[in-house]
Amino acid sequence: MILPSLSLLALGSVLLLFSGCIWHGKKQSYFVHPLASLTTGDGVSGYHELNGVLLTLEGGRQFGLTLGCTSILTVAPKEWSDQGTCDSLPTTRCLDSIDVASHQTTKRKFPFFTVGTMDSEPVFFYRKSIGVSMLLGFEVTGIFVGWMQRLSFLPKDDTVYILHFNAANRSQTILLRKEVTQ
Amino acid sequence: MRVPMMITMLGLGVLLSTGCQNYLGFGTGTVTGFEISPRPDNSLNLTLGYNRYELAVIPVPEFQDAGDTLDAYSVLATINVESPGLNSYDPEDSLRITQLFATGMAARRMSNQPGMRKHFAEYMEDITKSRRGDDEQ
Repeated sequence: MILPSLSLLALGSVLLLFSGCIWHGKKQSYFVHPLASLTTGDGVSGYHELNGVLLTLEGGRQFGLTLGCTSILTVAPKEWSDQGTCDSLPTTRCLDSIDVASHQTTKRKFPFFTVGTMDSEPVFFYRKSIGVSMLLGFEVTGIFVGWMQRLSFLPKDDTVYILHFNAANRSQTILLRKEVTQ
Repeated sequence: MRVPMMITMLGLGVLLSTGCQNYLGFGTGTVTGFEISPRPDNSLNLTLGYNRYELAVIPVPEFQDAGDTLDAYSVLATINVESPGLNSYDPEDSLRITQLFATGMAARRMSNQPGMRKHFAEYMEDITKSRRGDDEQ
């Protein structure tokens, strides 16, 4: 009787180690991720990416429960003026002049708890999962079973955004913004 | 039997009520499996199988006219979405999005800038040439 209970306890502990919890704040997010991978980036965009296995719980701006493998990317824009490209006119053609590799720093973290801070509110969200997801919130709402990939871009008023995103190379995401006053 | 039914009805009610959100946004989605989610028009979306969509939502404030300092959700945008095919196994063939997105007063003011007008004209010319090339093939 004791051995099966201990086995279940050990299995449950291993499963929890590879799970993750996120609390989505306005500009700060709180991650509990024992061994789940958390990657942060700063430069041509500010982003957090949590890759969870088995169980992922979310709260705050977005509530969610995902059983299975999931990847959750949250991106906040950087100011266009900080990049010094294409004078003052933000267009997608200027993306070619941005050297992402030299501007973007990426850090991978494996501690149990991380507080991720962004310069501004995130407006770009990308997630994919294999399994069962129940989601409710600002970004996405629904019940998904199987393979799911969702992308949402929710811009603020009176602002210009330039976005370049590649799902195969998410650390190279560019998201810049500029307020146009004249 | 009553409790699961009540939970199901409550869940559907929550899903339908969350469709009443008034914000501007762009999104894409791909599902292989089962999906139940609310649409922007407060209806319910049910998918069983494969579904892919791109969606832009631009709400208009009720009983409110645009003026010199207030805008009714003007949008100026170029959106380029490259999505892998259903049978694509190439790891380089992934979802790519490149877009310029201006909202509200920023969209109105940028549309008056000569440089931005030139950019859009060149962008449309590129699309036209690309489509002509596809037609000739």
